[in-house]
Amino acid sequence: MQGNSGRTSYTGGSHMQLGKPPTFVPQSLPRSPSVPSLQGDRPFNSLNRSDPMLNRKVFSGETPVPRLDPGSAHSPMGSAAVQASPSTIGGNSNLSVIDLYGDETDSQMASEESEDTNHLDTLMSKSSLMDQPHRDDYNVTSQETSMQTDSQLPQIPKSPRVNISSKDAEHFDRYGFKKQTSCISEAQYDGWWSEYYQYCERRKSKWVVLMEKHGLPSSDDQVTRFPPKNEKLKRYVRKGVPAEWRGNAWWYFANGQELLDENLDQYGQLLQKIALIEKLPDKEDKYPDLEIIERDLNRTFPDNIHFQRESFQDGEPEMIKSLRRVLVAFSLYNPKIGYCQSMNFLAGLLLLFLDEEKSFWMLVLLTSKYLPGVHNVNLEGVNIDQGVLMLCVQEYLPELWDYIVPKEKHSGSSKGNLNKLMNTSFSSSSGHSHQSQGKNDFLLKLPPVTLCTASWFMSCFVGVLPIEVTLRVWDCLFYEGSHFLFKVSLGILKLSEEELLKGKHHNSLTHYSLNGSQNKHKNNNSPEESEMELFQIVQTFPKKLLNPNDIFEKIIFKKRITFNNLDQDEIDRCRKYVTTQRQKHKPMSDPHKSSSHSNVNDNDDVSEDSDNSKPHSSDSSSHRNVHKSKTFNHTHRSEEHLPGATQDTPYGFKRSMTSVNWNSGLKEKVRQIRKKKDKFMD
Amino acid sequence: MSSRKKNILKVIILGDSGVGKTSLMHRYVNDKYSQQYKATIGADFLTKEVNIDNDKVATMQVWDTAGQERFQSLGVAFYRGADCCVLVYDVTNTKSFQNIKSWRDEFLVHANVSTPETFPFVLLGNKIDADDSKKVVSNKAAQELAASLGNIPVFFTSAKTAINVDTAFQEIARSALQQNQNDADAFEDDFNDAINIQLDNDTNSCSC
Repeated sequence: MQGNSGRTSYTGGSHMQLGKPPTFVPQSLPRSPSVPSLQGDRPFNSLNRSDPMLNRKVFSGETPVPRLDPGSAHSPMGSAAVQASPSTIGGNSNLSVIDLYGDETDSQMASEESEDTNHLDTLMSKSSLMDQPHRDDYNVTSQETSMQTDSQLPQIPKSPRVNISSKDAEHFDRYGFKKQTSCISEAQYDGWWSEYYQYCERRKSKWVVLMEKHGLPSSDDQVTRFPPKNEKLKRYVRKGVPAEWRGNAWWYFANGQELLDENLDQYGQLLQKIALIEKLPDKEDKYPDLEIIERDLNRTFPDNIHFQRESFQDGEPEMIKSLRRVLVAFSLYNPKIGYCQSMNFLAGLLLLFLDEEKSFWMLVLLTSKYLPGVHNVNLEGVNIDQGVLMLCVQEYLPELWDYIVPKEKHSGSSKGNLNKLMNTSFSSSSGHSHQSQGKNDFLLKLPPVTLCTASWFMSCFVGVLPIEVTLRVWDCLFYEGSHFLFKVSLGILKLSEEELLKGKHHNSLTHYSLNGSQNKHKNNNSPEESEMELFQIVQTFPKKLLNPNDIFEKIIFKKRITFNNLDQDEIDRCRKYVTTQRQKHKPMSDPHKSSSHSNVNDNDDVSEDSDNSKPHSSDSSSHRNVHKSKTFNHTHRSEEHLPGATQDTPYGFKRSMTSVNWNSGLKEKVRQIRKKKDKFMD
Repeated sequence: MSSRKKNILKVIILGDSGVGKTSLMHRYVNDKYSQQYKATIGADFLTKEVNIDNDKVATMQVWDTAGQERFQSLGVAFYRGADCCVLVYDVTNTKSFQNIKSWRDEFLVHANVSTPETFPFVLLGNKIDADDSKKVVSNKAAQELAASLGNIPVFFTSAKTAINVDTAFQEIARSALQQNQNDADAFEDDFNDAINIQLDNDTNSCSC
């Protein structure tokens, strides 16, 4: 059935078939070429190799094929597309959508981007040609692997798992997420997407040219390798990897294959172990993570059709099963981390773009190489990264910093009605007052706003930023390294700052000029209220950031914005510094380490954390190691590495020359001047 | 509004993962329920204007937290300045009930409240819409626990069906306001000395 309807639909229809006026429907689903038959990289090579047990395990379940057969498995991105495939819905609407989409794209793009036209033509004709073979690719792949699976299995991934009615289809984006979120309406989404998908198409055509220039295959099903890293490629990545290539691009840039090759059978063994554990009567006692994982499975992407129970008539979605396996396997693989909430989002997103085994290894890489220590039992890595972020805010967003750590916070109670205390705040126009205090209190007792920003890091913005923005961030994360998370965070905070100061402008000017001594109108701006406002904006602002280019083009690509100079080296050095600072004060700052439960064998040191996960990951993360050694050689300020050698010496960002304080004070002044100038220009 | 100043009441919701903290918050603040909440990472907060006993208006800041234990280490900073702490368990989950006490202790350790004995806690047993067969924590056990924690109020709620949610939050608002004013009074009486708290309410002194 599936196969059949699949094809008909390709030849098929017009959007007239859609239950609803198809205004924007076309954009909601990927054009057919995006059905990723990414078998090019033999996603399941290792699974294929591995023992039958694994396969049995993997392929168990009501719907035998779906997610895990090499083709579909692959990517749900794919499978979003796949699901766009016919079988789901009895055939017509989704696919017709795809056709329509293709048409539109064709004409609109051709007219819009004349420079690209020639190329586009080839691209388009190629892609339409690809449709059919494409399916065949699937077939080939399934056949390749069918030796270990039931030979009866349908060739095209069965997708009755998703049971959206045709008129529902338009409510979901190309990955299966509901377009409407708590902060974005479907109309907003559609309005934006009608532009943005053209951008995506343009970018893709450029990518294709680039690939061809390097003699690399560029059809969706064959893109597994990428050109050597250079500025141009970096720029391309920053402007977005084509959605259909994403899984493979991440895998490639993160060096996943190397890690997998070193651990060929490991995932299979972990699955075997899981199978044994499943049989234990007291498994939940022995493996307390199981229960928490279980509880989070349906709370990961309840707004994504691939994860929705309701969408599946019989039993659990394959995605949920994969997610469970990946998370449980991880908790066994790295007991030091076990399961930490937020990893469900990481794994969930990975599973939408990569097969299960690769997703697992990417999770390993994320938690060791990119976010060392962040998910550990004591979450010390989070605290360190938040400390680093706060240092960056202090350095690069001083106005916001005054909101985050108003001075009165240092001088005592933060309890209500503190009008009097307000007069010491907002004095920063005279220089870097906080920094010159030489106090790093905030590194130990992180400001409340870090509770919000911590989740940005823990889940790498999944669920924080709208999906297309998140994916752009992930592209860069895997290409450039973890410092990109800081850049994005600073970008968001910068935009939040503008939002925050928008209504405040008059007020804050008054504060500055009077040096805060007059507070007649302060009643509506108590510290508590400021804090609340800050948190509220920081919490909701990113969720509204529908258009990736609002942050990428307007902030991250702007050389003029100083924090864009941050590089991995700087962030690693900064992490080291914060680690040291926190360790130095640990006994004081954390006297009552929580009573309640287990988990003691835990070490707070970032580098150790990454070392500990090393047996598994180190070799592949040569990247990181390079940085690490650089960090050590880069004794810009040697005290950093000697706990106790200094008393709260402030961190010096690289560009400052010799005297940190002097220079940052100067910088601050320049910044203020420039800001004023900007204002006048506006 | 009648009183001197707009009050901000800071309320923190704690409890094991999956007991329904987010749902309770949304039910109370937006009067909505969804099956589709995601696991909370870090913390979220919502605010709501409350009218207490038709007399005082305040802004209630409801903080929803991540339930997994390891997240407690992140919470430290924002526990401070809380006016009321809501402890939530799931009536269908014994463990979540057993952990209530450690949530409370954890809170007290980090919140740095001036008088732990009188600090207002409210206990909520959530998901009472569940089948009776699934309920494993008896109301009696809950009341005993509440008594042992200093006679704190206990409510049996359902975020899903809205049972008791408003009532509970009315009480939460009331005790938060009380706490807030105690602190404020103390603050005004003696700028630098927060010890001199005036006790004039129901939650009198010690816990036994």
